[in-house]
Amino acid sequence: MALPAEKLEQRLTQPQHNLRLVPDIKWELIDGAIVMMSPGKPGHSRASRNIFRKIDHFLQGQGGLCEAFMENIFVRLTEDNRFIPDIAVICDKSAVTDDEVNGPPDLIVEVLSPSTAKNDRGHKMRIYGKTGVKEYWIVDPNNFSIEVYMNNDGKMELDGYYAILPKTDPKFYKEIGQEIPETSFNSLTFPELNIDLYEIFADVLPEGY
Amino acid sequence: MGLLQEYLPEIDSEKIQSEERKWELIDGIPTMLMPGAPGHTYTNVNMLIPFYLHFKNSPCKVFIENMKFHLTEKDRFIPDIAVLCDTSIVKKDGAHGPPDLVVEVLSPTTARNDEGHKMRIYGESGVKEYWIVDIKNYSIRVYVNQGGKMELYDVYMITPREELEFLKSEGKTIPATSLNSLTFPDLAMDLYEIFADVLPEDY
Repeated sequence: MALPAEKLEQRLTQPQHNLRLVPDIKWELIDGAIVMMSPGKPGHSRASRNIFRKIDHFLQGQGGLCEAFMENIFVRLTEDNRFIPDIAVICDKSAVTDDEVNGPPDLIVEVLSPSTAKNDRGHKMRIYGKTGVKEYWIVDPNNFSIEVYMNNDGKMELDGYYAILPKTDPKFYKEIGQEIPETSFNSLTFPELNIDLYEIFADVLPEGY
Repeated sequence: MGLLQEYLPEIDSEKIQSEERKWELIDGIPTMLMPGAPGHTYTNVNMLIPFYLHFKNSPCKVFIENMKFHLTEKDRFIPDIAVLCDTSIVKKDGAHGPPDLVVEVLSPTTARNDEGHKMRIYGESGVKEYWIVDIKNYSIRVYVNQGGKMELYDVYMITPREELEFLKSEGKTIPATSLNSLTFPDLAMDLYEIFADVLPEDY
């Protein structure tokens, strides 16, 4: 049975490990504040699931040295920052304890939603950078785009922007001599992991897009 | 467009050669300035009204895709909207130095630069505040310059009605739909007005 949010917040005055007593509520610790997680919209879940499938399949083919988690694992980055990323890929399995992942994953994927966009692009991106996450993807289900950020000395820096344009647009942009974004890319941390945006957004794209 | 012409600063039409206006230099690569898609243009026009009203009697000038800012040897950008207070840096070929505020409206072909290289250069060259307007998310992201790096300050966004109800019922923080500039605190934007022409029915 879920506790109301106020009750949970009261418990925060207790040592934080007490929060494990209420495992049926999903929450994150963001900059020291408890933030409850809401269920995602279908478009969000589809994009997230499609990427997870792709990554998971790839990692299994690599012999399972690294593993992928989908929205179901606590990643402890600092004492005040314990996030549940949409997708996290971890290669150092010694960081995976019975309760959580203790340390930075190699790759994090966050799918944007209105209530998370500010953190995904702001605080979380900073913490992922500072704590040593190697690669960070921001997936935007409204722009049908993926931004790839790479850790450069503790800061996440944009390395690539990939997007699906409406059918009519590429012609227009080509005519005016603009470079249109690619619709597939390879991870830099896992060079053989190829992501095709048409697969990722297959059931998210509007009809005829 | 009478209103807009009225406030276009004179230095613009007199001094900037028309050829110069069409090209940007991005990390050393000459890049043609492109016409925006309709959504991009509507949004630009709607944003101009609050800019016009705010800077009407100000020494600061507003430039709409018509001022080239020389920021480094390899970087000369023409922002979608720029506010410049020290107009003494404007020369025949453009402004030699950073504007105070830059607004870039994302399009698929510019997003990579707007969020990557240009954001870095705006930060390093001393632009105080940088807005990224995302017409697909009905959103404005405000970045502020902290020690030469653009840091995200806040994300403003119109949330679909259905999701809004849900977020309210969950007691979640709902992104604000109006904002004030940090550099020009009386410069205010209402996202419902800015995105009026591109917002779908269910918003």
